[in-house]
Amino acid sequence: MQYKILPVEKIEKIRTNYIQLTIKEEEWASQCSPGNFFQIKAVIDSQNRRLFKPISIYKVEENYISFLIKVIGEGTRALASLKSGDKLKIYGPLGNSFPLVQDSNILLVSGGTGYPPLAYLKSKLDSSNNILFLDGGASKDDIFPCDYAYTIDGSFGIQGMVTKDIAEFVKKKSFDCVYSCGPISMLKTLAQIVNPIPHYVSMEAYMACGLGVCYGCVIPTKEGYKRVCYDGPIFEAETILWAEL
Amino acid sequence: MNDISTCLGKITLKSPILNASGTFGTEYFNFLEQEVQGAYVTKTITLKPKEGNPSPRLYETEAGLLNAIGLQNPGLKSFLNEDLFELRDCLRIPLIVSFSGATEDEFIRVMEGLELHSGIYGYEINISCPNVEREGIAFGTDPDVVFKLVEKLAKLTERELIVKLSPNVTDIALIAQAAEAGGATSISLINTLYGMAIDWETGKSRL
Ligand SMILES: Cc1cc2nc3c(=O)[nH]c(=O)nc-3n(C[C@H](O)[C@H](O)[C@H](O)COP(=O)(O)OP(=O)(O)OC[C@H]3O[C@@H](n4cnc5c(N)ncnc54)[C@H](O)[C@@H]3O)c2cc1C
Ligand SMILES: Cc1cc2nc3c(=O)[nH]c(=O)nc-3n(C[C@H](O)[C@H](O)[C@H](O)COP(=O)(O)O)c2cc1C
Ligand code: FES
Repeated sequence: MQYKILPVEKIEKIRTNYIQLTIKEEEWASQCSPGNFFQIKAVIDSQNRRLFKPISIYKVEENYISFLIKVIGEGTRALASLKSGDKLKIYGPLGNSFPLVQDSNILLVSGGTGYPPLAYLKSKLDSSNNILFLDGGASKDDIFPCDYAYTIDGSFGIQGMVTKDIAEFVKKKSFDCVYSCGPISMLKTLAQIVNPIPHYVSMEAYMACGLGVCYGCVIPTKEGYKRVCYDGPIFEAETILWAEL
Repeated sequence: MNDISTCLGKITLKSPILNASGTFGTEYFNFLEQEVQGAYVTKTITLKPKEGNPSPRLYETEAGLLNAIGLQNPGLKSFLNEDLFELRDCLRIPLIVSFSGATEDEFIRVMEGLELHSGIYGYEINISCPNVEREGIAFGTDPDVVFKLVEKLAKLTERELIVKLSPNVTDIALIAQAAEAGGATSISLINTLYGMAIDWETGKSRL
């Protein structure tokens, strides 16, 4: 893990409210694993007193690392205002990573800003696996390449929540392993449906340090409050006390 | 390099910069040289392990970061058996241990435990926590309570004794004077300011 000030290599606006932001960093590119994230902040006056924002790794191609970022509030808006060549403050890679399995029937489920870590995970799961990828969002603007898409407003794919058909898929496909990332309500529902299949969730939490220092980002688990940034962001779903979330 | 050494009560520090307790860990030495700081202040520890507050614990506002961590920490025993060794190994700057308690007796027992160990240059006493013997009113809001507590702690140690004051009082100078009269060799300003952010859509507090 290192701290750097780097130029934006490339930045693209995607639909109305996402950006794909790419940096060039050879050393980091070789250290990244699916599930890891970076703490990122735009070098802009308005951000001086603002926190770094946790953003998952979306793609690693040769020396390039890309992030897919949804514009939510101040911090992500500032990132979206950058142009190539503008500077970022960034540190990482942080957190643990998804365990990689082989010869398995795998279900990937993402919702909202949960898509990027699962897309990166998919690229790292080898061809001995059989993968089904479901993505959900509020509308068509929130959907990215997957096998089945679900939108709340029905503007793309199947109308409804991404968890809608999972019970049926589980019956048909006998999955060996489930990976997920998204809003807590989605993860909670999913954890109930897929239990007792091994299920790894990438949790999101409001963060300050991202290093395990401040204890600001905890979630309740069977072993007490755990830090999403340091003990996670990947947790086994059965260790989380979902009822308290 | 210019000499920027300074005195903090009984100890001389090579730099006047110290970290705020609970916001800084040795992980940050990946980013900056330890020697930038004059000393290292630990996150606050307590006698028994503390589980801390439910999440969310942080909220960012225009005016700054609100926090409600609730002093989550593994307790004195675990600190002495694990963290203290690691800190002594890692640090080339003086170590100051921050601690707190829910009763006067808890403060005393933590200090007694720490006094048995070497490698500690001083203590930062966190008095911004609720005093369970006085209906949960924070220790640091009453000059008499502060004087009595600090007086008892000062008798137990020769080390630097920093009292960290709470800003959530009418007149902080009175509390500072009480700490000094009790035997504090320096004071630390300030602990977390109370604040609240409200989600206008639900009418509920963000934390
Ligand atoms: C490990 C991790 C990986 C992430 N990866 C990505 C990613 O790859 N792409 C992406 O677009 N986003 C990702 N996120 C979410 C992203 O960090 C937040 O959207 C971002 O911090 C929002 O910051 P902001 O300053 O723009 O908004 P803020 O002003 O901080 O927040 C706007 C609103 O969103 C809520 N909010 C903010 N952050 C979070 C959070 N982390 N969890 C729940 N609610 C929150 C706030 O309560 C507030 O109501 C990730 C989060 C984590 C913890
Ligand atoms: C996440 C977080 C954790 C903190 N933990 C502690 C702590 O364990 N002990 C303590 O004395 N103060 C703690 N504080 C208070 C800080 O040390 C500091 O006194 C306070 O934030 C005021 O300084 P500032 O205005 O520079 O933030 C904490 C503050 C934050 C934001
Ligand atoms: S954000 Fe500080 S401990 Fe996780």
